[in-house]
Amino acid sequence: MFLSRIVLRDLDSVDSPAPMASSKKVVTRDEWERKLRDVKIRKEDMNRLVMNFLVTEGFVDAADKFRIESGTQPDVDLTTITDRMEVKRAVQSGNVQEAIEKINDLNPTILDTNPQLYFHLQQQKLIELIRAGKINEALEFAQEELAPRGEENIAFLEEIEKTVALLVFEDIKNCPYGELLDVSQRLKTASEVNAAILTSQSHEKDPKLPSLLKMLIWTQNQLDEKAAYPRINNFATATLEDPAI
Amino acid sequence: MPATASGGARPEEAASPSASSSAAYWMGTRPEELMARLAAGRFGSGGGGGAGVGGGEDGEYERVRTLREIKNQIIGNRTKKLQYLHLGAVPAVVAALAEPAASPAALVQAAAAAGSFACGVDDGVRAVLAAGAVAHLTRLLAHPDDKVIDASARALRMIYQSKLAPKFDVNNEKNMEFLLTLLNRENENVTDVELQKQALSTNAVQKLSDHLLANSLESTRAVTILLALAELCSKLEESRSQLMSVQASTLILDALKHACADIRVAACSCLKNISRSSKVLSAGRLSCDTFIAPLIQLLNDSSTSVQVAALGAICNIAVNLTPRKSILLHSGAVSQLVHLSKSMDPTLRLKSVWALRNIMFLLNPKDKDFILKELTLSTLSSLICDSEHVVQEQTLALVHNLVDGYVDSVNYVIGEDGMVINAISRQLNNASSPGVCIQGMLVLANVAAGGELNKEAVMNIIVPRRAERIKPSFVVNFLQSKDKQLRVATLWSILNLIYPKCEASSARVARLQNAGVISQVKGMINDPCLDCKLRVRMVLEHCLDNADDGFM
Repeated sequence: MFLSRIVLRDLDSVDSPAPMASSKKVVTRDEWERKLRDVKIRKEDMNRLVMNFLVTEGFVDAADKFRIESGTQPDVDLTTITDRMEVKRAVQSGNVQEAIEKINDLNPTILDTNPQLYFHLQQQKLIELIRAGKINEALEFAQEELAPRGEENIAFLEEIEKTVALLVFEDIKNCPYGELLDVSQRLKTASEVNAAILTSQSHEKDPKLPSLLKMLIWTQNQLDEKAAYPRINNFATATLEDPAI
Repeated sequence: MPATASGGARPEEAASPSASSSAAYWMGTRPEELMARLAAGRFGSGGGGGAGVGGGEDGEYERVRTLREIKNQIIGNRTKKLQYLHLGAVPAVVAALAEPAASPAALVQAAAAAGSFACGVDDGVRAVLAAGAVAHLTRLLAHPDDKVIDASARALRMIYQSKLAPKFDVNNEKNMEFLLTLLNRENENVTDVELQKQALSTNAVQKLSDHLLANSLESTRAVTILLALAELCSKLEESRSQLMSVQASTLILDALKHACADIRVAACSCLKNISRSSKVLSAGRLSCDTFIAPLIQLLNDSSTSVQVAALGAICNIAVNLTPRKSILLHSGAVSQLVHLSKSMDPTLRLKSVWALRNIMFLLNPKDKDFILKELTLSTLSSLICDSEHVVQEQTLALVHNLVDGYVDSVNYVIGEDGMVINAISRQLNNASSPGVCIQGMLVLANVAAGGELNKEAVMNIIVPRRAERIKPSFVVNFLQSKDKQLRVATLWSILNLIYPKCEASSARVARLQNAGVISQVKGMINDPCLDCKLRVRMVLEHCLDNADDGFM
């Protein structure tokens, strides 16, 4: 990516008219790879990026091992991550009440100031009760806890209706809102919780690696208008694909 | 500095009540039961009734658990808060705070509960204040246990956030000292308590800046104080004027050039918030010449956060400088902003475009030309298609400001083979974010208000001539949007296309009819939004008008 930035800069200095297909500069694979080799990226910087990712996503053990192996210091105290991860794990296992209690132990202001998150947690609680077949408890819970949320904020009504609708169907896995019972719903809620905790700790809730990918895409898009060059199209493999001539 | 994250006493982490070793009963969770337990716990050992609360440690443990249960029920839950309020929970909870022999665990839970009662429920705030919580919580800020300090600070913060909270009298010398000691603590929660603007009496700004002046920018508190000042200025008009006194201005000026990046950022925040006041700016108190040059220099700063903060200040200054923007224009700001709009960092792109948008607003044509010359149409088109939709939106708002009131500016939009208008078309066709669509339609509406050339250009975007009929015009979708701003903007574009009446307009009506747009509009006769309803009616009137002469 830094390489494409350099080429972009080089091209900019040549006063080129509005680009058309035929006047695009062509960079061959050899030239490109040669330039790549010339770009120096420090190992420490790469390590910090990896550490930042592990920490933000909450992979405590991995972060700790990485710290030992690479000598990279995490940018936060790993114990604070443990708390956050316990909450996330609780949600992912469907133990919502446990998660709520842990969040409140961690920082009681989070749920008070994040009505949407609080609602989603309660919604998840209802979903878990339905999943476990505890219909009576689910009905009671819906009435006591979810209905008031709808009264407090009408924006939640639609979601409440969808969730309560699950109680109506016999075959809940295949009913219209069956996706609420998917594990993906738990993961969605867990992710919301993770972000809220990170924000409350004044950390950026997004790791830096995805931003780098965004920048790579941006740079390639910019360069596309001026040159044909070996492009990365598949971000999973990061293979260079030869320029179409 | 991250707030200390591990809160809450550990022992009662056991999730299920039945895991408790001391209790032989299941702890009920109904509010009335919990209140009874709390009351029983207060009165100590061997209490009567079936509560079975033992004395000493057991009793304390039970109290902690009860408080924790109440806390967990009320956090985030307005309905439960009201329920507990009516049961008289607040005095009981605050009493726990006042308890001299209370364990840290109990204090933490009680503080959290008190803070939660004060969050979002006016009656809760009143009850908490009436019970004297503030005094206890303030006292607890000096507790030996860090977790207690944390919990108390959080609770105080919640309380002070309410407009019902009392003002913290800064004139009292003792209070001022206390304030400064708190600012000195590294605990973010604690310092935040001072940042509550409602909590400070009116000449807090004076006092704080006096203190800063006295101790120079070198002290470690300087950043916090500057930030506190910035926060105070964010909503209060009088704070802004106070901060613009001669001494304070010099202070901020020095801060802008300080070696420490955090101080530069804080100074920019102050300026950003002060410039929210058109009064301050137009009264010439913010002597622009002095501040603008250093701010523009900061656009080149090595630290991105400083650049972002400087951009924020410039954005606000630009808004409020109308019409005296020439200062900004001749200071080299534009080329710096254009440079930043091409940055790899999306935040820098966003804020620089935002600043340009603000500058463009109500600017005279000559100056608009000047900006466009620096920016270039190709950069403008790229920004319209930026990877971040917030950047797209600001860019379109910039174009909107460009064409507004400047008839010839349309040449920028449809010139050079329609580079810009094609970019807009691409975005509108790509189901972009609502904000982008709204701004895009506003631009089209403005362009369509011009002459024939303009109307045709817009028409070709909305209903492309090579009508493939593969998908309906995006305009039909926009008209069905739940967002009334989008509906209104779209209706305006349509209106401007078919007015005034002429042969070309009639032809356009026919094209719109064929594309199903007119029937969509017909279906909106009873649109819930008044503005929309009016435009709908106007559109239909003009359609009829165009038809009257037999052109349809």
